[in-house]
Amino acid sequence: MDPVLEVENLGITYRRGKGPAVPFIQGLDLVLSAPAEIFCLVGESGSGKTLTALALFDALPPGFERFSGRIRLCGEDITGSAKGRDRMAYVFQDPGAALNPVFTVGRQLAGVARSRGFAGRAPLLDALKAVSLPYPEERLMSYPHELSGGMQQRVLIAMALLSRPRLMVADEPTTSLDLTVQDRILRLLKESRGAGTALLLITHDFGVVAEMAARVGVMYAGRLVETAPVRDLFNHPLHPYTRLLLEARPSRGMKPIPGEAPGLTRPPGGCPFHPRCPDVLPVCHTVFPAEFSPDGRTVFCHLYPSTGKAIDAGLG
Amino acid sequence: MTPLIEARSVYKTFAGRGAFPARALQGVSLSLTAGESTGLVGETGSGKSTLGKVMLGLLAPDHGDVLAGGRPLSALHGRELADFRRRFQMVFQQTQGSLNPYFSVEEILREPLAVHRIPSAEHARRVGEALASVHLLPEILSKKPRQLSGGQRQRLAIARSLILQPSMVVLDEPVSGLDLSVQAQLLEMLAGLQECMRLTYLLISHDLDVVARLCARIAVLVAGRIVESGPAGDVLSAPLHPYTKRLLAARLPDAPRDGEEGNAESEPARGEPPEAGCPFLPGCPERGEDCAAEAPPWVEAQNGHGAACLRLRKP
Repeated sequence: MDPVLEVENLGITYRRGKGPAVPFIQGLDLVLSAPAEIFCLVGESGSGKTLTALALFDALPPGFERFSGRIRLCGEDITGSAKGRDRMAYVFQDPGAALNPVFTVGRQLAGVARSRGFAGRAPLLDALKAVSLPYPEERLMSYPHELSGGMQQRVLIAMALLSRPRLMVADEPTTSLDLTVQDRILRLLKESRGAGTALLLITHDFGVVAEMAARVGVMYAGRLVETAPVRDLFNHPLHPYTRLLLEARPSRGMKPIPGEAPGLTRPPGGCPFHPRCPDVLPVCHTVFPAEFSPDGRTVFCHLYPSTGKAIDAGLG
Repeated sequence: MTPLIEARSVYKTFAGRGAFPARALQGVSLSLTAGESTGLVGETGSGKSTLGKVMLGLLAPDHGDVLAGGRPLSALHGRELADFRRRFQMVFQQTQGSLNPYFSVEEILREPLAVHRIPSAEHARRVGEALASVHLLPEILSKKPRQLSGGQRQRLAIARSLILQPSMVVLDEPVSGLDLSVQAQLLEMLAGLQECMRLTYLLISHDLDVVARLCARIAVLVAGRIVESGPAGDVLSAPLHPYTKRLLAARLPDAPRDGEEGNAESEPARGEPPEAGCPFLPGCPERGEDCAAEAPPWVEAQNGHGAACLRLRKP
């Protein structure tokens, strides 16, 4: 049985205006094998997690270009094409901005339904009921601004579910919501997908990861630096960045990580984390670490011996 | 001891429509002592931002009063009012709306100095100190807000609020929407400033962990009414009100849970609170029949920790 999603050696450059194309995402491998798996892609703003998700939909913003890699959805190669869009759905961070303010909820849902071959009101009402939105008949006639943030997000999830996707991508779906609403929306994401829908959940919040993930990938400055099953990541983080991120949790006293994440145009050489790394070695300044993959997890760090492929610096 | 600032039984209603209540504040009283930072916790629409603005005199209450150092705001004019404005500052919720996109960082920082007629000979020094206090480098002085990251814009808004050396700063959701690591940095910075500048914060947030980091006291707001308040440690470790308990339970786990789920299943969105009666009625797991009829009275536990809940009343 093919994995739901296979990303192999994804590389994306960034070019400002007529300047040189600088590699940002490099050598990214990602696999979601189980049909209903929840995979959390975690990292700070600017780490490249949204860019990775957009690459799946062939929807990179201006200035960004894929220079390497292949993407397969349920075994089919969708690299560089919009072919996968009919089997994937995207839930945006800011539902107020993602919903069209001049159309009613019903009209926007109907647009999705029609594109999948559903007709009539019944599928729309079912979709709203599936996300526990009260008074669904009335809500079909509501405009987005008449709904609270949490309700808007439920509508976005309903739209995503309507398309019966194999893969749902949710990009920081609760960051703009209150705590009590956040809790409910996350549970909704967990429970409302059918048995055949995997979830790629993008977040900067380890609380979300702890609540939702089966497996986790940690990104920094365009690199996927560690991947592991969720309990292994929390109990035995391998990469120093992962360890520091876990220390920023409220229960650990919200300890900040010194320094700032690098920008797009001037990435540090070698391992991009080296300027902030408490365990930095001389080699870290010049060479990106090779992969170390013991027992179903992966880390790229010079602290560990390598078991396999070294990352090719590509254009850099 | 005279409170630094005090809201007495404040009512504020907006002519509104849609999902949010128009009755923003319904008889809210809150008192801040100098040096005792207070966190105001509640959901979107609970009235917390409105209370912050009313306390700063940015909005006039329909009923009730705000007193600063014992003097009602309505009695302040001219020099006294300008002095109040200087000493009581605010950092607004969204930097997109509160930082003038046409101004450079330097102009943004100089603006309050000009408004309060600080001599221009002092401006450069004050701007430099304000930047340093929030760990921003002088090279950003010529940049515009859109050229800064979210964390940097937030620091700028904080620097602007501090440049007049206030006594109190109202911080409205100062770190929400930012990465956790950036939140941690900003909160550490705010804690340091609180100490060395001897500031009192009124921290408005929906996030209990943020409030716990900076505040000595916590007040919990539901639909325009304070339902619980007390020392931060007591409120978080021994909550009295069902809503506070719900807030604490809704926090995301620290680590993956063993076995399956925690508490509630995915529930529907909550309905409107009633006119009379308890503001938490539509969602309360401990509600009784008496809860719709009367607004619950305040019950004190100890240490100034109390809540408004009929279930707390001793039989």
